[in-house]
Amino acid sequence: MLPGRSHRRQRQATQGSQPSGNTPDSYQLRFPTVVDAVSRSDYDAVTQIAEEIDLNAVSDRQNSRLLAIAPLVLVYLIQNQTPPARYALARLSESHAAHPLINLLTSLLAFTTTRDHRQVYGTGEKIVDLVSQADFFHQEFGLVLTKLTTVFIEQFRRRTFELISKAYSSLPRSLAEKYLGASGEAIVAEAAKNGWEYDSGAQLLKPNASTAREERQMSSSSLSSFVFIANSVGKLEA
Amino acid sequence: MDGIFQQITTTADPAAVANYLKSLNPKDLRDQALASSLSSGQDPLSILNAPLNTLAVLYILVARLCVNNAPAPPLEIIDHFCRNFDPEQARYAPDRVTLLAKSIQKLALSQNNPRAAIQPLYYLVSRYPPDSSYLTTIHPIFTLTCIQATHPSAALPVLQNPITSIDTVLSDLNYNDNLIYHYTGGVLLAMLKRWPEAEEFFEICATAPGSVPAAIQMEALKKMRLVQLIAKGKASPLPKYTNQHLQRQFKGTPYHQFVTNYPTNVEILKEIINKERSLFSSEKNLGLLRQALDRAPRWALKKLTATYLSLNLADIGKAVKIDSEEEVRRLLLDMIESGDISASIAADGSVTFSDPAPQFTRAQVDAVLQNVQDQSALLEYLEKDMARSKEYLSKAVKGRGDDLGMGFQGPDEDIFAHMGSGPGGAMWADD
Repeated sequence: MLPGRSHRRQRQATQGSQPSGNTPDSYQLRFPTVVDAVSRSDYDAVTQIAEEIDLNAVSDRQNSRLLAIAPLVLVYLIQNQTPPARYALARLSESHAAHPLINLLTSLLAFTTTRDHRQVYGTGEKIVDLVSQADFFHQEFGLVLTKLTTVFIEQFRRRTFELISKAYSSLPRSLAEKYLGASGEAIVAEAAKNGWEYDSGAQLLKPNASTAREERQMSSSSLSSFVFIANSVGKLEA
Repeated sequence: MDGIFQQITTTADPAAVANYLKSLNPKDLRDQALASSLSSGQDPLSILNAPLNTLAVLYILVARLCVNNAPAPPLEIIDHFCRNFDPEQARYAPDRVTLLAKSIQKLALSQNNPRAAIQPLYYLVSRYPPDSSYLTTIHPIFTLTCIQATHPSAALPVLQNPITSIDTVLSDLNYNDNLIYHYTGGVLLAMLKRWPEAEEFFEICATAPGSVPAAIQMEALKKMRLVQLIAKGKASPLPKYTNQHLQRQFKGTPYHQFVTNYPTNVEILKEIINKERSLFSSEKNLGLLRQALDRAPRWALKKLTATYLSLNLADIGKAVKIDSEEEVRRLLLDMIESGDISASIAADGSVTFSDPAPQFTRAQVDAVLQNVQDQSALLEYLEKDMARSKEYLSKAVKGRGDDLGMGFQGPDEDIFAHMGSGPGGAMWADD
């Protein structure tokens, strides 16, 4: 494909994003339910609603389809479910796939899958920049995507922090900056809160392995546990 | 049509309605009549109520979808029926339900929108059987539609319910329905990278009993082997009841060579893929093979942990044939995250391996225990149910009768004459 033609298609994809006609379609009509679920941070509901909207839609060519698919992809990423996110993008038509927002989401998915940390943070910033622009075709949609992208980046950073707590006995500060996409000072401050040690001379961080989520401590017994065990023994005796 | 309409709307008993509609002959004229409007020009579907007149609406919808040149009802009407029909009424016409499911799939495909069939089929497959453990003819149609629509996650609510019940009165099943459902279910689960579940589905398909293995069972076996390599790094032995012909045939395929050389001989694995690319592509296994190849270093690394307490990143890279230290770090992190190994990386690049610490909560232990008890109870129920069946009882009695015959024929018949009150003597002592 010639670069010029690709550029024209992308421009058309962005400019032609306004719905045709005056009658709202099913994506536009049900978008408020997506907004509501996002505002409550009920991501299971977002998944269910967005999937249902997309399955019930009569046509899949209109650009308003992005109102369902883009939040769906981001929520799957928040939930660390990359395969359904991938197929949600794969089901889009060619014209949708050429949209700059979809290009960025596709890149974000790829970088998340390959754990290219620097690119994940960079692409997250690009998405927020794109949807925050004054001429973005749907302001409320832009706010929803900003929130979801921010939540995803925070979750990704938190999961990465827990992983390097578990995987590293010591690591250079520069490596931690790459993994966490934050400045050294911010990392050192956060690390201190989680019981890590920092050797400022060697610029080495020493994670505290017990900050990784381990629930070895058994909780105390309860009446329900007693009933359960008694029933189990009863069945063995039977 | 008016006469039929009059009959079906004035008869309260669904069994009588079902008998009436089944008995109308000839069938093609019946369907043509059902596909037409009333003499007043009204559409009968606009008058009938899906929950109250389920059988009538079912027959009309099928007629409209199957009769040539009949106007196909919009998918919204079909969807509405599938959400609201009365399952007990519909069970009087299982063949119509099968036809409806097939027609929904066909209609959506003809509109180049297979996704549109998913919701109606989902409601049909989840509402029609008495519970989710029953296999019906709708199951394989639903899973196939999800594949055609590239929508694996839509199938999960159905796939998560294991099939333990078959009733040929409920649904006009044939042998292939079980095979196709579990094969397509395995494909959907593999698309979602739910490897243990995908393996289970493929195994059910591949090991289904039969005198001669079906072609789909060989395809299921190939995919099952690849899924095992991806998930565990090695192939697991097949159950004893697997058809021996199937296993022998598999050994003659390039898949067997791939499995045999996995995971250490990466160059040979690449050669096999290159040499048989067109075969693998036509059998739609190239994606799985590539994933297996990408994960080969992982299993090679895991083998190292059995031998070494610590290594540095460069040595690990040499052993698993990865040049970039960055890639080795990424692989290690991925394996630590997924729990495949327990290791600790130091700033100087040394990696110390350890035994994975057990990580479980009381709630997880209780859940596993509860699950085991539920499964035991289910097995006990299924065993008793099978023991009540006419086929099992007649074979069991026949088997014992043969043993009795042999016992009285030989010189030991005097021994049997003195034992117990029953004719079988000591053989019945444990009953």
